[in-house]
Amino acid sequence: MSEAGVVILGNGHAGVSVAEQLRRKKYPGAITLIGAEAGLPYQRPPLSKQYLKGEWDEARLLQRNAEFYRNNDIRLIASDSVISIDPSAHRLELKSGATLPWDKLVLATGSCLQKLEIPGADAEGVVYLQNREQADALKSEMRSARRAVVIGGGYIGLEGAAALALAGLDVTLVNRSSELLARSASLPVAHWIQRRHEKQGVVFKLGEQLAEILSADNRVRGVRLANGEVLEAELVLIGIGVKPDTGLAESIGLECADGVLVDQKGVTSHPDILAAGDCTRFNHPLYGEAIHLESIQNAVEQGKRVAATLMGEEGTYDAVPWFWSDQYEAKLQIAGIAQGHDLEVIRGDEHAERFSVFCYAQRRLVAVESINAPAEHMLARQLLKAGASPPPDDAANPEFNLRSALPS
Amino acid sequence: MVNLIFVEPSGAEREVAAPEGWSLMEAAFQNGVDGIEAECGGSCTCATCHVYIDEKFIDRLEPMGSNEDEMLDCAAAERRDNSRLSCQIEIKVEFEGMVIQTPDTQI
Ligand SMILES: Cc1cc2nc3c(=O)[nH]c(=O)nc-3n(C[C@H](O)[C@H](O)[C@H](O)COP(=O)(O)OP(=O)(O)OC[C@H]3O[C@@H](n4cnc5c(N)ncnc54)[C@H](O)[C@@H]3O)c2cc1C
Ligand code: FES
Repeated sequence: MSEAGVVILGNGHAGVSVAEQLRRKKYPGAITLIGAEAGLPYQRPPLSKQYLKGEWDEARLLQRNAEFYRNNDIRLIASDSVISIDPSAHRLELKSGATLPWDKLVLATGSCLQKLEIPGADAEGVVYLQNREQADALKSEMRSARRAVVIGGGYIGLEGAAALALAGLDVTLVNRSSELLARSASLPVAHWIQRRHEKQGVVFKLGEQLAEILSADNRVRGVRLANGEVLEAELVLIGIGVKPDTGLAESIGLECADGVLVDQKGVTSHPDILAAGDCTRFNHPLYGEAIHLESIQNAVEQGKRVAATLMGEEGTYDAVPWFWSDQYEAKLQIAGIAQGHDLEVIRGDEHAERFSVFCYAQRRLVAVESINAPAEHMLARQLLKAGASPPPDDAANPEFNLRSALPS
Repeated sequence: MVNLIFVEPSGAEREVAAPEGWSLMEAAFQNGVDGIEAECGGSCTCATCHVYIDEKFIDRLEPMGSNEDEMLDCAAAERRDNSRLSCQIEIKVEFEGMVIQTPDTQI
């Protein structure tokens, strides 16, 4: 090992996890964590939750404090981006002009925001929500706006809509698909979430496309839908999704397929380059195909796996995927991946304050979505991990003890 | 700032100063205290921030809610009378000097 050590490209949840785990495992070499954004690494989920609502300040948003990185001898490079990588020379180049050697490189570049390409999209008052700077911009726009239009009915759009509605704005959410959370939740859950928002006064325009963002003097004043309807607003929040950030990986010829391809140890097609988090795609033993996840669970746990691999530890990455979203006081939690399921049963009452949806594919339990039922969510994770599938009738019966379906 | 003492699984004591209003979990997490995972970032949905609270202080804590109670049953380590989820406990001045024991495992 030379003095170059491990260089981690990207200081989000995956990058920090790799650095932290390496030190916990007593990695003896240098660790460098590079991030394009200013300041210390921070947590992303609160940006659309506690931070947006003004409940948390910047200090509370941090992942770890400055002392932590000092004590653990983790070198931080902030406000600088990697612009090129030379895999044969084991060096990378920063925007500031500096170059840096590495023995092992970890790609933790996260996601690129999908931008809306329609007329007016660059007007003032049109905001996205992926990083702290954008959250700050949204917070300041919220103070003066009375009406908001949210584009996109995924998690970011919905959490944003909740924060805007709670702040007293009139909120209309426009979604291209006729259902919310189209690719990521079952209908009973999507409908429950929709009703909860409607109770707060949020108006939905589902199955509608946006034609144009209306502005005057480059300041947003509303949107026009493809059907001609005009919605007036002083603020437009866009949350139409993200894509894995594979730009640098592709530029050096690493294998990518809508994500940097990694094996079950987190290694890319180059033996000295590993990857973790939102930027990856990998085969998951539970789902038997190459999956891509956008979640804290995956960023943190795949980061741990990468650290273990760097330490020469055996083992594969097979953690059960899980995800959460907070909207108003409601907690939505998803264990597993529901995509492609052919049967769903409801445990509890889908019109009540709490219930879970058990999703099966060919009689095998593949996912459980819970509303306000955290203990059921925890059990679901244990069931999925154990590969246990309670018969659908049992799962739907609230009297049935789910624990008894676990292998003893 | 309130001074707290976390006992890590190894037995090592970590003194941490944290602002009032933050949760015990956040105080531990930002300082990288070993033995607290906090996978869900404090939304009371993972039970990986389980701790044992100093008996002398247990009466100064707000009673636990039903979610916390349910989640504690899902914690990886043994649940005891002084078990709590550290993300559900807001730090108050009265906690000065409190000792918080982390369990052997969270996962
Ligand atoms: C508002 C919001 C709310 C969310 N809420 C939840 C939630 O409730 N639950 C959940 O499970 N997930 C949530 N997510 C998703 C979760 O935050 C991501 O899955 C997670 O952050 C992925 O971690 P990562 O480290 O892979 O990428 P990121 O956290 O995106 O970090 C990547 C970092 O790399 C940096 N970078 C990229 N390229 C370069 C370069 N060339 N040079 C230098 N730096 C570079 C970027 O600036 C970025 O800071 C949320 C996301 C957002 C935006
Ligand atoms: S941090 Fe997840 S329950 Fe406390």
